Amino acid sequence: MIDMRVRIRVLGVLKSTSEGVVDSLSFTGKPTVKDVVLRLMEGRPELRSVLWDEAVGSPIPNALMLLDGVEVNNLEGLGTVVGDGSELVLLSVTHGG
Amino acid sequence: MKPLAPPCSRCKSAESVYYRPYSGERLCGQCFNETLMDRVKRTVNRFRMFEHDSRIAVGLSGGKDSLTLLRLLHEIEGGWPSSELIAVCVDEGVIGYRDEALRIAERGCRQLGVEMKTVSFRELFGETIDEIAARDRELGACSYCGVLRRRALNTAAVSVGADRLATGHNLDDMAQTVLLNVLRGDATRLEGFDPGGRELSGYVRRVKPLCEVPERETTLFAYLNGLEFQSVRCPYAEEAMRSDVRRFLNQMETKRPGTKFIVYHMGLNLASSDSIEASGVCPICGSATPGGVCRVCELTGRAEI
Repeated sequence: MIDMRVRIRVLGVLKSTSEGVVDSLSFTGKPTVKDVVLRLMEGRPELRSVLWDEAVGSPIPNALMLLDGVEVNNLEGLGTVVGDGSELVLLSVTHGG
Repeated sequence: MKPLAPPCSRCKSAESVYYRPYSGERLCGQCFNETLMDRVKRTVNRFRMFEHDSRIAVGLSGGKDSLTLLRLLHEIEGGWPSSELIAVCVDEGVIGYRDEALRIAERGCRQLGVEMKTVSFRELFGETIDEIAARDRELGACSYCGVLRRRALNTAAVSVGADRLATGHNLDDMAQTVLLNVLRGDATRLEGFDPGGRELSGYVRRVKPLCEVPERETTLFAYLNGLEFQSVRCPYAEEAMRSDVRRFLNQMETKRPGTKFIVYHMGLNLASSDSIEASGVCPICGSATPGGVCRVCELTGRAEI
């Protein structure tokens, strides 16, 4: 298994709910966007409450997510495999209008 | 390794960055910007929002929608040398939240060379929203804020001599408004739903150029064009019934793309139907209102302001 890192950028109002979010996360193997988001929310209930839609089981209703500048719905959605050194940007759609 | 995205379905050359689920388009950044601009221009024309020499007050909150609106109108109106833009802001007095937003609004105006006028709840109504909310927890801050803010924006627009007041209401806001009124069983409130606004005595005509742009797309536009984002959430945001409706509509849109457009068009049809009551005048302040005492006087009376 290969160790790899994903850079994270949380922008807008999500930032205020993301205390302690690090600039990058490390994974073993090939994580998907969903794996990265789930890891990011671990131990951060406030972030989860703003980001994650429990009914749909996804952050997509609440957030715009760009992987290396491409919106994830333009790729394989939450199932998109994230490469080593990739950057995931998260933006709240529902707040800060 | 960078993910591979399909080519843009419009220019056919650049790599797409965005999938528009309700139309099936995949767009590169430039084509996304151009299609958004085209849509806003079409909306402005369709609802005859402006004259060639309009003095347009842009309601600027410092959030992504109104900053996007200011940026788009600055470009559109740049082609109409007789028209003017001026930003109007309202300081409701939400400590920590609004002060950050006003600083962002100021920077946004400075970048474009747009003049900015700010009015506050304190100067217009004698109290801040924090003070009002602390006294009336039953009704909640949002019930007061929405109504008083509309009045404050109008006062600011009148004070700068504007003949139009453009607000950053997007497709999501419009669809939420329709559903909220359905859930309240109150079709009369849809009377003012027309995005092109109406001429009412004492009011600057309110127009909503982003009414057909989903909030996801104002967010993406702001990101792609380097606009500044607010980092503080309104502390009262979750109190409003609108939050429940927003959540529901976002879930539906994810499962069934196009839902928000369908609800919005239903609102347009309802607003133009004959069942809507004619406007009256508030017996206390003389403002135009669907009937009886206006909401501003009703709420300021309740809060004993």
